[in-house]
Amino acid sequence: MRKIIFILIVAVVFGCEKNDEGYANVRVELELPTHFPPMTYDLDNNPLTENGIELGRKLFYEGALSSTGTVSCGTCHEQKYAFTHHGHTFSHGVYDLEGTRNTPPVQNMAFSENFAWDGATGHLDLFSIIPITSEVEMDESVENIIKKLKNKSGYGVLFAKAFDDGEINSENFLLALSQFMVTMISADSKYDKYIREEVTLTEQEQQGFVIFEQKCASCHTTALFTDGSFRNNGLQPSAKLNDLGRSVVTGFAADNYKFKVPSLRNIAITKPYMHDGRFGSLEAVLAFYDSGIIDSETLDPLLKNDGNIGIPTTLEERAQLIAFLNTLTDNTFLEDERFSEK
Amino acid sequence: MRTNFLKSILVSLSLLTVASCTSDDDGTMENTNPGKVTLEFDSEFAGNELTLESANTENSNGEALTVTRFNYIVSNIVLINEDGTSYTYPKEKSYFVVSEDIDDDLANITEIVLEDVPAGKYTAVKFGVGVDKEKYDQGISGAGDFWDKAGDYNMTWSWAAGYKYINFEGTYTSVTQTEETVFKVHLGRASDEVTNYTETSISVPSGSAIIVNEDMAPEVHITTDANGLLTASEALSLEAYNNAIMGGDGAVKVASNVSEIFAIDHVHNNEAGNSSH
Repeated sequence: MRKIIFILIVAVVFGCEKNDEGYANVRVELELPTHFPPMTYDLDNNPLTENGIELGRKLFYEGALSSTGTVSCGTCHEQKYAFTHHGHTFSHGVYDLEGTRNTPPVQNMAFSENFAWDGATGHLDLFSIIPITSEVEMDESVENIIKKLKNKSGYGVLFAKAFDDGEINSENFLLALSQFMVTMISADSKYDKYIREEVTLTEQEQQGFVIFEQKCASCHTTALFTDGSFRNNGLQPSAKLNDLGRSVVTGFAADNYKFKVPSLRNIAITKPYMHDGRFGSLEAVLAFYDSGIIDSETLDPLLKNDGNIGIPTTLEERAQLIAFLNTLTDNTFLEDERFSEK
Repeated sequence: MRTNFLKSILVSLSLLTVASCTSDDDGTMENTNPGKVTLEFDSEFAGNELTLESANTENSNGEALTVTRFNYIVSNIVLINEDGTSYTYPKEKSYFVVSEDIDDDLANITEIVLEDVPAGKYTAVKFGVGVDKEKYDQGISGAGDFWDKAGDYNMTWSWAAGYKYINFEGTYTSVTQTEETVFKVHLGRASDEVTNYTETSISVPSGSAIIVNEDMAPEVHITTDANGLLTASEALSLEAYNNAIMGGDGAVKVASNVSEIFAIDHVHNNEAGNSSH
């Protein structure tokens, strides 16, 4: 009897309900890593379903999202490099045009407050609009994508399966992309396994972890390895780009040269580094924090201590830190077929 | 049988009471069924009708503006009853675009029609200009139609993916800026902390009321003073902002002026089926 009750409950939670179009769509419960902070994305507004996530995955790899039909999200966000554009300081979009910022990884988006290097939007649903409409990325409009999808075979059924009203429209399009991105959780690196007490760290990794907590973890906080804030870390602004960062969005001079603190998950495989991809190695990044920081009005106060600027580290400490940062590479995530182009 | 008969008479009587309407002395109706309310937004510029593509007199910052576009988002409408209670229009339906634009395709949405408003005498209207944090935080879910409509009216930003609450554009001249110079004032969210969304509450002229029921079709004439965006309580010289105010302290000041540019000029308590201006 107990067994029967259990099965009934499961059926209610995960049960297939036929939508208005007569398609069954199975609800998906997201497994949240217990050592992560709470999710910021509100799933009540966009409940995950098997068909919704699958549609989002297909759209992520759909070239029709760009004006030329050739650039998909997956073009610049390659899975094996934690969804960054490997080997590119700046990514190439339509007509091989080049952007001005380094492609950030797509991972753990459901836990983020703001999106893009400058926090150009505060909601995951709206985030996709930025690369889609950027002239140097996909150079397309959401309205036109909807037209193209309506004329492309297959999408009618996929949207009908994924959403109650079954319509191919901008709302469902963006919701499907969000559903897919919400599932892209990286939480199975060696570090995560260490936290779950499944493995131990080497002596060097352990020492790196200690230094990390002392010298890095005030900005790269929590299991996300970022506090999501905007900070000026003291990079010499590029005279050519003069990218003001956060203040481009807010218009406040106090935000000049501030960029979002990036997560360090999968950091070892996402070079080049910084918002403009200026550093080719983690050694170069740590050397910069040691002695390359430029003082300015908006330099983050955490980088100034008793008149000294920067985060001093010895060469030995840097090797230890990098050993620790290597434990943040999550091969489960990088090879997860649920996120791959099929 | 007899009781059933009596019951049906009682029911009919009570139905009559609910549905009947009688004119009383001041000409109002006592129908208690919900009705509709039209909010008509009449754009002005410093007391004159706003005429697009026509130069206005120099404002208090010494700049003479010629307006080509004045669009804004009106949201979260609440009607305040004379007894102090209030009626909040359903949030999911409470987002509107008001538009005056030289582009004919985008011109002249100046009316907002509220349906199914409970009968009553209302004396004030409260509303927001822009998109509040709660709505923004819902993302695109439920916002599809409004996002698209806002997009049609150039009320969305794509590079910063969000809504423009106000689109105020045109050209201006001043003593130092003798050539017609293009200006743009776009108000929107800067961050979670600085949303620039503002609410305003405006009252009907004293002695007047918005009479709502099934038999009435009141029109509330609201004036919107475009001049006030740059002059109401915070003075913003376009030249000082390099002809563009799209964020920062300029946007914050515009937002603080927004609550002062609206007023209810008069109310027409039309009977349903008729309308007058």
